[in-house]
Amino acid sequence: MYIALHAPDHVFIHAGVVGVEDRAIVLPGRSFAGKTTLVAALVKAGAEYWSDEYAVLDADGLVHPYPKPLSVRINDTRETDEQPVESLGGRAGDRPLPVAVIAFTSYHPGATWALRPCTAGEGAVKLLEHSIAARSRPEQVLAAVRHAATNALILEGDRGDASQAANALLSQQTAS
Amino acid sequence: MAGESAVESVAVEAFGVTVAVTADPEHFAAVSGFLPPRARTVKRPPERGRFALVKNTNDGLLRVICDEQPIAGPFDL
Repeated sequence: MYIALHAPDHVFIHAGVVGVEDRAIVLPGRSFAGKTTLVAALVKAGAEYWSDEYAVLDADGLVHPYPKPLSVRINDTRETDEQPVESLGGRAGDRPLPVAVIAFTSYHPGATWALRPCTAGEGAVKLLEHSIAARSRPEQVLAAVRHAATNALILEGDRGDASQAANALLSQQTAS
Repeated sequence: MAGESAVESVAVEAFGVTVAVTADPEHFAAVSGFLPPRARTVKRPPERGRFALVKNTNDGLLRVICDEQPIAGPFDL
């Protein structure tokens, strides 16, 4: 968190991130919102791993890797097991990527995948809500999230099963 | 600090920020797990951003200190 607050040239957003075909899927969400579960499902479906905690944006809106071990919840408790991405059969990315899809999803058991598209402006505001340094560096954060959202497909809605959501996201990313 | 001990330390840089972490050997590996991935080890610790996990020998509890100020704890691990 200290680095997220003080990094001079990067903006940290609470989000899971994966890479597909040299473009990023960003999944903003607070702690225990299901980011890691969805990121893990995407990795198992073939995506490269960027992070299950932070989307690290530069001034151009590119997403840099923050490939910490995935914090996998133990039996739906708040306890987590730190698992390297290789244990899921995946691999971590090593380069900044432009953002293709930003999906604000809420997990609801049994929900079907029905996300609605949002405007880039809505996406930037929602990203701002998940940013770490919005209060201390508002102009820098706003510029980064605006760049990230400008050319991305922004989606919002409920999701159910993570593997179904992962497949749907990969389809969206490929089509966008 | 009096009544406390911490003996392993590392300083790293990531995303233009340098932090140092200090802890006793028993907890150092766990503390190191909170360092940013792919951080670069540096020789010189920063003037700010110095974190320590310290065990108070009086109550046996752990506290997180940042730049001499307690920021979390006490913990009974």
